[in-house]
Amino acid sequence: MPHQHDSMKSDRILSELKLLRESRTITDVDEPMVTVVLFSLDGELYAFPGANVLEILPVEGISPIPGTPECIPGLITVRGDIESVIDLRRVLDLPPPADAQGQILLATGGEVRSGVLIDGVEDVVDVLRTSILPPPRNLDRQTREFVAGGLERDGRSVTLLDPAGVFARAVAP
Amino acid sequence: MNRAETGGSIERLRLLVFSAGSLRFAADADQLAQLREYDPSANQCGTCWFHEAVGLDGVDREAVVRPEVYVVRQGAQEYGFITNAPEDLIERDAGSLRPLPSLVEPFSLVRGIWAALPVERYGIILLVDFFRLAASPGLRSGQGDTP
Repeated sequence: MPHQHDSMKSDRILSELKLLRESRTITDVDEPMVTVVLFSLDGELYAFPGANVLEILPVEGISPIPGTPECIPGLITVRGDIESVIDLRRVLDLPPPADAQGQILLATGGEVRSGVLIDGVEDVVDVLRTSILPPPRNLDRQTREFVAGGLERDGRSVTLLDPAGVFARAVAP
Repeated sequence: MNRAETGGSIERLRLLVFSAGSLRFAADADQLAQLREYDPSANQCGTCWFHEAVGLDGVDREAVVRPEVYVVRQGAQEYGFITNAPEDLIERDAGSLRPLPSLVEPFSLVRGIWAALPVERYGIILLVDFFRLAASPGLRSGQGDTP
């Protein structure tokens, strides 16, 4: 009964295909996703892990405080609390912005919480953890302390930063 | 410190608010032994300019338009800090003060700045402890004497 045999074979193959598709689906669901906050700085794209970003704030009234490093322009109030602000351009040795517009990411890293002055938030996206590449090997030791990895977004490369490393760098001698 | 208590164990502070450069500072009024007019011809031993002591860049002595000397005493030692005359005296519960963020505190404490107070009409006021400031490394090494 060749017809019956062929039918059984097709059923078997179809069944296997469905199983394979289901297993792929299960794999996709289980593959860890990471939320990242993409932001621009000096024309380049950077990101913080979303878990480290508490809030996105406008730049309003940064009050200077004497004696702090140059990359800490001052303090802000956030609903009655006082938060520090670090200037990420200065931490990364980038030139000052052409205009004074920008945003502040209120971020945590290690035991530290601080505002981080950036040019502007571009997007908040979920990416596969496996799509995050390790930091390039040719980075110098200081830079490796705050670069957590890299990823691609719409054909552009994104540098994933570690907020704890950024904070440590901001106050390093 | 004023030990008057209100509604429990919350300490009440009387704060003298003054400006230096574009910033506002406040000091516990109970720390001050004396507040006197600045006399450039007087002996200024043990006296220094406040904005220089706290490391406030870009402020000239000429910008201190109403100079007065805030005098504090520790035992037999007397220190004077020259800055603008107080513009306000405010009372606040100690609980309304905010500790400095951990990133800036190590840099600020050594210059006597120990807390911050958000006040609507002033913005952020920096709390300065004149005793801490008098003990800061720059002043301990004798740089504080005003020529």
